[in-house]
Amino acid sequence: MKRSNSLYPGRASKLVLVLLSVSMVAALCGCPSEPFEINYPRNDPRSINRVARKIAQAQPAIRNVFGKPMAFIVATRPRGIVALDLESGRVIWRKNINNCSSKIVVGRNFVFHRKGSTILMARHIRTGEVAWQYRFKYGNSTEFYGMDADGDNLYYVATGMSGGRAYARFADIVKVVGGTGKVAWRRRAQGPLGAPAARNGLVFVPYRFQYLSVLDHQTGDEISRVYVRHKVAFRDRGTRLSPIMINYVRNSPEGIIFGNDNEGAIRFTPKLVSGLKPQTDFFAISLKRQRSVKARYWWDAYKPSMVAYTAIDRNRLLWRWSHTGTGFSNDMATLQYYRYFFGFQASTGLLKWAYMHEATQVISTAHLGDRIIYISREGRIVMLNAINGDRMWELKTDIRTHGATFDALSFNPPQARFTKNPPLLEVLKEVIAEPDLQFQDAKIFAITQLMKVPGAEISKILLRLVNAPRTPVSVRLVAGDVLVKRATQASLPIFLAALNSHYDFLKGTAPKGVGIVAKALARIGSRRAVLPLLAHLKEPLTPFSALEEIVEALIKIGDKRIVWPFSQFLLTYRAAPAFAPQINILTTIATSLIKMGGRSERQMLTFVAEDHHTLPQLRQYLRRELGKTAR
Amino acid sequence: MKSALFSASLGILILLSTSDLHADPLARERKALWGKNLKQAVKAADRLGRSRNAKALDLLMESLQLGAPTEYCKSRGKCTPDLAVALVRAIGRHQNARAVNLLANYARNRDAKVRAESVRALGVLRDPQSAKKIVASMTTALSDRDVQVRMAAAWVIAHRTRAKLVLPKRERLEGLLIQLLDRGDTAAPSIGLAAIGGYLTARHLAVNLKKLPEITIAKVYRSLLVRKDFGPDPIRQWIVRALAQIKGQHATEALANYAANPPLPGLKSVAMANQFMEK
Repeated sequence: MKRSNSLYPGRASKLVLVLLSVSMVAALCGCPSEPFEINYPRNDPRSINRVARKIAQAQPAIRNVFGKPMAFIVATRPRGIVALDLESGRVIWRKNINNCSSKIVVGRNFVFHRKGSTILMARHIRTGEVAWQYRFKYGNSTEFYGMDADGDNLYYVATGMSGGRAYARFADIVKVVGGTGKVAWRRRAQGPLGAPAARNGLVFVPYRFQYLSVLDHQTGDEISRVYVRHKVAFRDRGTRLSPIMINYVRNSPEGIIFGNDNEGAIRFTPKLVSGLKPQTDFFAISLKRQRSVKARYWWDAYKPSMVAYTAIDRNRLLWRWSHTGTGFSNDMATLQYYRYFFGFQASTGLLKWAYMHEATQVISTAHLGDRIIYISREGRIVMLNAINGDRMWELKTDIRTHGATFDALSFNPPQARFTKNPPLLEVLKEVIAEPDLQFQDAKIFAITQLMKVPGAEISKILLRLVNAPRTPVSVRLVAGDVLVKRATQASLPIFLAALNSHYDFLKGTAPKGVGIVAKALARIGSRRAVLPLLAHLKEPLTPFSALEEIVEALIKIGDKRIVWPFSQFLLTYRAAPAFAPQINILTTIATSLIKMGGRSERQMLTFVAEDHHTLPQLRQYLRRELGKTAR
Repeated sequence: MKSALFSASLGILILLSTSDLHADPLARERKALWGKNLKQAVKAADRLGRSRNAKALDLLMESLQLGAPTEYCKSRGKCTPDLAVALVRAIGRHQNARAVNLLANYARNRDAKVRAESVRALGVLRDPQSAKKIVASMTTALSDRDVQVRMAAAWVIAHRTRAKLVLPKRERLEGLLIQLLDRGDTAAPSIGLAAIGGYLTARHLAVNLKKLPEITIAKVYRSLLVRKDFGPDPIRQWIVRALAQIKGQHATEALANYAANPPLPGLKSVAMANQFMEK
């Protein structure tokens, strides 16, 4: 072995040199290499600039050959696909098909959809007739991630399943020529690929969760790869640069936008060369996630379920990149949650308008720049102003809708049915008062947004909501929480008025929400609240939960007037078995008396601690506490 | 020798104990009241309530002021003795105006039994100067959510009327009892209205003959007819006619009772009642 190693040292080094020089030449001449190689250069300036220039080339706003705004609706009862001219409201064609299992993708002369789980279908956009059918290579075991059209060519990503999650091993991106339905090329990645986006002869595809690969449409060769990192703080280990997860790519008139569906959007520009998020065209809106109301920026490209029209289409963020520079168009983003729309100022996250569609569900939506278009379950197509939520246009089609794709970017409808959107507060009130129990999360979301809206009027609304017997517990809790957090001196009269009510069987009155009101008063800290709170402390029917809040509030306000009523309360109930499960009320009172009371209170507490009628927990607590503070 | 020593020590003990008793006659009761045994404490409170000793009331009031345990039931029928109620009851027995404030305070206790008992104890006080406070407590008690407290207030109204104790604002109390009827409470108003009901009560019952339970109307009308101070006779006749309209055992009994025991002689309404009974 020794000999053989020493025999050919010159040959081995020559081979290495040759290989190196070949690879250097290949890199210098920019020759494409095999796509999805793991060592492919990332954020290469030359290739990124070339791609950015190509992206910037003009693209028609409307994809279809007619150049007309159209909607392609997947209808139910009867099931089928309907092509609708939005300008005239005329159905261009309707084809009955039972198993359209994907979103419709619009090309120039064709529309594409999946049929069942194994067939990809192209239809002539003029007639709706089938142009060609294409059977997936992996048949029934195909896992389909999505497709996009560039002109008449179709690009799709799929993988074969053979037990477990298939994407972990490989995925194929395939170009199907629109005119013939023949496969032009197929490229395999040893790792997961997400749903692609195609534009101006470039195909963008998320790769291995952290890359965006750019392929040439003619050859399928990878011509660029993007990788963006950001600083992540690790507990006790400082910060580290970590790649951001790229799980969507979107083709829009403003360019190619990609990013993480939960975090934000990055525009494909030459700034990507740095590979650092702060130096790229990144934008996100600061919205807290509220239970199931999620601000998803786009569909997750790695989830096969996103291929079809699903409930995800009804709970997402509608936005468009600004033409002028960074950020969202008009600095606005709209959060859709089923039939509720909330318009936010993107830079501040401040709620600007809200809109509620009547009665039925909103199925599909699209952001058309300054406008938002949506279709409801019963086939009503409505256009909203994305800046103020005004209803600009409406079309009733009577098509029972399962989902729809809009190809209507430049659609400028006649303002025949213009309806001004009511003020934000009115709509939020409506959302909150909505009797529909199906979408509690929308109510909760609306309530939490009220936190930022100033005015004592809101406190009144929230208090009414907290006290309404039909309000579900989850909504009541959030409303109470918001009510307390936004309690200010301005809302003091509202809270004091709420304490005026007392239990009266004859009048049928009972104070409501005393606990929450006490919490709010504690936050305000006004001494004017002491006497009304003491009156409720003495009230025999005040629930224990409210008693606890009252005691806390009185202590927090810190008025000396509470010492005598507290000592009387403690003496009266020190031996009451009803207080045994709520002993913290008595112990809190006792603690405050130790702190605030004088010699006589201490004597009284010593008696309470010694007397054997006193509840054992209270005796034990007092002995310990008095012992600690013995002078 | 041993027996002599034992008898001597016993003698000394007896002497000591008798001298103790002479020093404080309530010492034994105090010890029981403040002892660990709640049953003994309740018994002591009861004894102190019956005692005519002025210091007994002081001891009871002091004990109540310092707080006493209320009833606690682990399961049905297995309850601890209610010392607070016993103390309130004992204080009430003394019928002393000094206890007004304390009792009024306990009439707002969280325990419904204590509240009811305090209302009763307040109601039996004879002091005319305390009447206003008592009525104020009655008014609050009548709007209490717990039926036993409302019944206690109604009982006080009836008691004070029967015992001819001062009862200001009778009409207001009658109005409240009628309101209670409208709120669906029949227990307390049938006690109270029987004692202080007048024209207003008779009219309200007649108007609501079909809304209110037959037993409630019959009971109240029966009590009104029996009263000598109730009248004039045309109202009695009206009531008799109303009772005749109601079909039910209690209404018939009320008519029969009125026909058999006329409160005053020569009333035409009695004759009417007899006629209806014959029919």
